Amino acid sequence: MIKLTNVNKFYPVGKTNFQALADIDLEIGKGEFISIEGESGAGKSTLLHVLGLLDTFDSGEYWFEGTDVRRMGDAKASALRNRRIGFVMQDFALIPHKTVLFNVMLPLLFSKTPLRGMRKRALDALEQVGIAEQAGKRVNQLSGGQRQRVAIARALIIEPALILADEPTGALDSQTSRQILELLTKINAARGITVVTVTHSKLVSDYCRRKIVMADGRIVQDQAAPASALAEGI
Amino acid sequence: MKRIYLFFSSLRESLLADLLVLAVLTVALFVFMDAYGMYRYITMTYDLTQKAGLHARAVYFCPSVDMDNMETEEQLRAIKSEVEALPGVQEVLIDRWGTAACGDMPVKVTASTESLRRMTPAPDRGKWFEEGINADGSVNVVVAGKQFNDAQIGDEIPVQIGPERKPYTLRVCGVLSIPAVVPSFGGYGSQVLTSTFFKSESGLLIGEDAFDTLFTEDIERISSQFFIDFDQNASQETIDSAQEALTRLGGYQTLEDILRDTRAFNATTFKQVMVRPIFYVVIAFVLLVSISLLYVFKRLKTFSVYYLLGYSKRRILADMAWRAGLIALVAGAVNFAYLHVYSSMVAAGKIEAVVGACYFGAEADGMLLLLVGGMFLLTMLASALVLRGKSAVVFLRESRD
Repeated sequence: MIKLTNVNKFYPVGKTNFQALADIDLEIGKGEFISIEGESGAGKSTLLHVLGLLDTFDSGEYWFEGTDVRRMGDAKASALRNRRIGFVMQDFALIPHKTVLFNVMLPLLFSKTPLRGMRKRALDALEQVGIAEQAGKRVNQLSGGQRQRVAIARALIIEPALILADEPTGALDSQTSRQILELLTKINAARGITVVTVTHSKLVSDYCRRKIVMADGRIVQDQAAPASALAEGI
Repeated sequence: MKRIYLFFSSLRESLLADLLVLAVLTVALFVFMDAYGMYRYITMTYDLTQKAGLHARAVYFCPSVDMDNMETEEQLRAIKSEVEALPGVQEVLIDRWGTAACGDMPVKVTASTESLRRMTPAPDRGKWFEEGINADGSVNVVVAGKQFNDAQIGDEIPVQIGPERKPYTLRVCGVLSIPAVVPSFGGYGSQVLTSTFFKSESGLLIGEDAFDTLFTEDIERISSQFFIDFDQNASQETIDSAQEALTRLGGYQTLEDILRDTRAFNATTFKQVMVRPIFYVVIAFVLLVSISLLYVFKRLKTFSVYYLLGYSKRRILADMAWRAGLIALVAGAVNFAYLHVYSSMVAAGKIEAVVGACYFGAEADGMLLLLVGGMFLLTMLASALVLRGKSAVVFLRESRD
């Protein structure tokens, strides 16, 4: 589904160039549940941004569902992101003063989807994550766990091929974190949506079936995670 | 539909700020356009005088006659004939008019020569006559001022002229709306400016040949001053000699001196009339740009979420353009209505002018378009520079800070 070949990315720092990604070779199949781990500055978020078409890279190839994204301009990349990639971020990336329903509908408002039926789809997505009754509330009236569920519903509404999660439980307590991770696991298993999550948390890592470790912009480890009681218990 | 929904959804968030900017912008534009109209009225006479195409050494002449004398008109005609006979003199531009009865109302009828027409603004409706008298005997006329503002092209105006009240039919071929500025050589002083040669009045303008047909010398009046234009090919000595002869017949000021003095006067008037409105417009510009930038910074987090969800940078910029454009458009539309609707109503006599005499021609529309367009472009440029300076990732990172 996703294939990166010899991807490199540099950032200018003063008069020199800092290499954020170095010789990245990565293949991700449909339905995988992957964690990307490493120390701060290892290049995890940069890799996530490249995967999510939020950032460009300087050399190499990136094929997303058979499409070469390297030569895509911002408009095409944005359209692809809108249709096929969902995001779940540490700070939820929601519009706090708008309603839950508006936030969930937002990706559809940017797409070619007709206005009619959008509301129903949003309510269905909220139903799937268990907070349909909060639809009319403003986001800033919800708890952290509820907000993250809204973010997941927003990701689901476009029926994505890929969900990218950047520290999805970073702002949550452990109990809520487990609930969110169980939800993501359920979505991954039931709908075959690929989930790639950047994390420092062992709890998150334990839910993933494949672990990628990065250091200094390189992938230093890429292996199937050992079966864990937590993951198998779902 | 969805874009409109999104647009108005975001507009609600900044409604108060936008309304404030709209109000300030509209008022600033109004004050500016009003002052511009007044300034243009003053400077228009300079432009019209230049358009007359007079020789650089043409003079505005005031004959020495006893104005209290019963024979003043005869003396003026005698001096005019003497001047016309001077070597080098090509044309004497003089006001000639008479009075006609139009129903129960007296109306001024003025002879319009080709040179005088060059000094007159083009009719607001219709055009100048090519022939003074039509084959059917009707006389072509350009009507001017409040009295005739409702006239339509092709209308026929019956008039009676002279002690026998001889009837004539005048056919409207053009309409000069208020302020209906026409050449009028009725003033003279130590400093003559181009505004001396013009007057805003109501009346009928007909060709010189038609005027000669309708009015005999005994019922015709002429102005106390007149322009003397010299032959373009006349030598310096001929013109010097003619001007010396004029000093014996009265006083004069050269067109060159008049234009120079007018330019100086206009520059002073500009400072008095325009500087403050320009300042207001600059303030409005700054406010619009500042609030637009504030809007961008405030909505950076929202824009970052939009970008995350697949709204491209180009669409974000387009939304900002719509917002800035809408404000500029509404402010511009209100002022456009003022320029045209208000002016038309004053011209039609439906309302009294609440500001001083103004002239709003095509230049005013152009000036308004320039200001509104400039504001829009400046706002867009400032906002785009803020957004373009950031990559999407910086966008997202900064929105979290």
